[in-house]
Amino acid sequence: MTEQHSMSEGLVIEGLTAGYNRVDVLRGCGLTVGYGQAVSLVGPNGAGKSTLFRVIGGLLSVRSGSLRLDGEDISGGGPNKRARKGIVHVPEGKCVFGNLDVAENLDLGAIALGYDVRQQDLDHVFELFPVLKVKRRQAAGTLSGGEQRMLAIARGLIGRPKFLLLDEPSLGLAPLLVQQLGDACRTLREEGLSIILAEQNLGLVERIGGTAHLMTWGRIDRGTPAASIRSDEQMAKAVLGAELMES
Amino acid sequence: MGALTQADVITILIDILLTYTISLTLRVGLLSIAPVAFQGIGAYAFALLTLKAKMSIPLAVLLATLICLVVAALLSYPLGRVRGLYASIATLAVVVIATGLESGFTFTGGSLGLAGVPHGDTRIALAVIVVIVVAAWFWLDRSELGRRLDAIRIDPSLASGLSINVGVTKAAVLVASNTVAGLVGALYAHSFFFVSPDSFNFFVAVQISAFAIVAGATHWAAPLIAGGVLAVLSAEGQNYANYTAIATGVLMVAILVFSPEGLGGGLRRLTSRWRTSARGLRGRQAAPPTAPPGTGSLVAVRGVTKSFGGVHALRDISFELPARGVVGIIGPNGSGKSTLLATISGLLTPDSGTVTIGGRELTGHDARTFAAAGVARTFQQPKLIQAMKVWENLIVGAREHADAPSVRAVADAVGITDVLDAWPGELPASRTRRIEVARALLREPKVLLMDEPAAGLTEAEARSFAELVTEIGQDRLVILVEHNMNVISAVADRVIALVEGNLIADDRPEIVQAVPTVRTAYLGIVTEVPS
Repeated sequence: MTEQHSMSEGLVIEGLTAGYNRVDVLRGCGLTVGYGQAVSLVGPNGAGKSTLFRVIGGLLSVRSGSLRLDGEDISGGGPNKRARKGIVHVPEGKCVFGNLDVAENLDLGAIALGYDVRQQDLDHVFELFPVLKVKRRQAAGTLSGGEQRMLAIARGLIGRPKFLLLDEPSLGLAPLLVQQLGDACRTLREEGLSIILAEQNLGLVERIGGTAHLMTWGRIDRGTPAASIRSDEQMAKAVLGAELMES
Repeated sequence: MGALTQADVITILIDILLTYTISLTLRVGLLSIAPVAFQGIGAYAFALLTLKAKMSIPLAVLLATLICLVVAALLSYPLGRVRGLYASIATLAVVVIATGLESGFTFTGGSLGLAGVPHGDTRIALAVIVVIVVAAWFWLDRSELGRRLDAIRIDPSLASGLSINVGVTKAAVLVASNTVAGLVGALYAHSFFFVSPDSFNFFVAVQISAFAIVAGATHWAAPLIAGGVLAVLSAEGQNYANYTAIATGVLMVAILVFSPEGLGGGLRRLTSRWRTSARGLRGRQAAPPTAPPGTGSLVAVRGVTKSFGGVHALRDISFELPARGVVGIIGPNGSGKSTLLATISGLLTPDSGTVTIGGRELTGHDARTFAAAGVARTFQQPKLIQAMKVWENLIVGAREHADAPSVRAVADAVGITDVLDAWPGELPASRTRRIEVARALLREPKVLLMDEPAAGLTEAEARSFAELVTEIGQDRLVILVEHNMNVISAVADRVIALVEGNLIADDRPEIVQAVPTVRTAYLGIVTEVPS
């Protein structure tokens, strides 16, 4: 088991608290994500995974604790500033502009970098999701639920992020696509992209690799290699349910 | 602040009533400013009936209100068919047309209006109407009807799936709102001696609708407070024009910044701890059990084809499903699964082919008819009304089935008894999914359609959800769209596979999972055996 030590390079979160109204959802989170690493958060619904993503992505402000990128405090400023620093958040659900077509949605993903979409980036996402190429002139609102998910992920990738936050990307995707998404994320990682994943689909967590952390009640536990996630006793108990342990 | 004159008091009472009429339309998700036009129609009708027809005052008030009722009923059909912002613009057009007609004819006195209308003190009459309207709204907030209106505002497609007649309800709300405004208009004419088109024009309409937007639609007292305070400020503003206008503007913006649903939303949150708990559910006569389903096919889909702008979502799909059991629908993304579910629940009408539920062909009918025929559904992203507690969500629109014992029984069966008094926003996905199931089961459906109910659940949660689905399928038909093959294998006794809108397999799960196209196009398995 490799323990993560905090380093100055990459995204470092320490003692983070955040929440809505009078309730703290995150109660002292710590997490370090280096370049080219994959970190998956698993755990029950309501543990605070999406809230953590909203904080990292800049949609929700930090109450206490620190959020640093390469040693620099980045806790101020909204999602636009985070995106310019290469932190791109692909939220849960179908967050696409329904009245724009697929290609226009992808164009919007490149705004943060201040240039028009590069052909090679387009080729990259079309290779990953061929259906988007076929339907690139179709209004995003007329795509199926799963296709809208693909588009949201593709739009995140097209901005060439350094850190990609994927909140339950497998939701609504057919098994074949989940596999393809896992393989693509693995390739992107090898190219230097850091991926932070919140996911219930353990198959995807295993496929992307890296480290998996159990998140419960607003805290993040120690990491485990993603490949051995099902054999980790504590993790299995929380995610798979106790009865599986006995069998 | 100076003392309020009799005219000020009347103006304030009238503004409060008009705020209520517009807030009522907000309650169903419309913003109709037509009440200001109907105030004008009521006022002119009263003036003409008393001046030209020499009618007595009570009779003229009654007749003017009736005229407004008839005109409102005639207009409710076209207005009810327009949606969203365009509906507001359509009601704005009503205001503009009414003012145009009032100033365009000689018998209405042109732009000068009509003077010499029989005059009297209407303060008591108006105050009585305010009390009645406030009491009616107080009742509405606690009634089944109020929950129906809330459901329509929050999600019309959810509401019609709950067998609420969205079109008729919206039309009825428009008629009620405009008729009350007409009555207020008649009393207005009686109070002020003369009527002119300027009193009911666009600017008045904008002012009153601003009052209503600040008030919001979700609390009985909000239009009274917001309408009252803003009307007093505006009456005072006649004397101290500048700073009261500024204060009014600041107040409006402040309320909307802190409470986007208006004052009503804020009041509702403040008083939420006193809101009725599930214990308040009254034990009514339990509904008679539905007749046991017959042995023939319950759902029959024959030759259904549907395309969207040239893209074939479904091509000639046919199958028949029995009255009990769990049927899974699988397929790659974009293969037409959700379209098929929407066709069986009446949200979409197929281009060709028929859908028969319980022996009745329902093709072309709306979701409400399908719901009445016994079709209930849950959604990919649970559609629960955040402003209602869990138990209230369960009984929205479930008039005849929602007696206390059956709510308790269903909540027990589904495992949500401990959260009946919670707000849906506080609960994790594993719970909100079950609440949706409970809401569907309370309507005692013959068919329950579920769209990816296990998405986003942990493996443990998905397993326990699968047990629930198996149990539900023992008494009725469950049709399940799901990507989690573990769940499908655990619950389904039959699986229908779609690829690019074609039905490519319809058999037992293990057989469908072995079909080559399913394996390559959907599961992504080339050599391994599915676990």
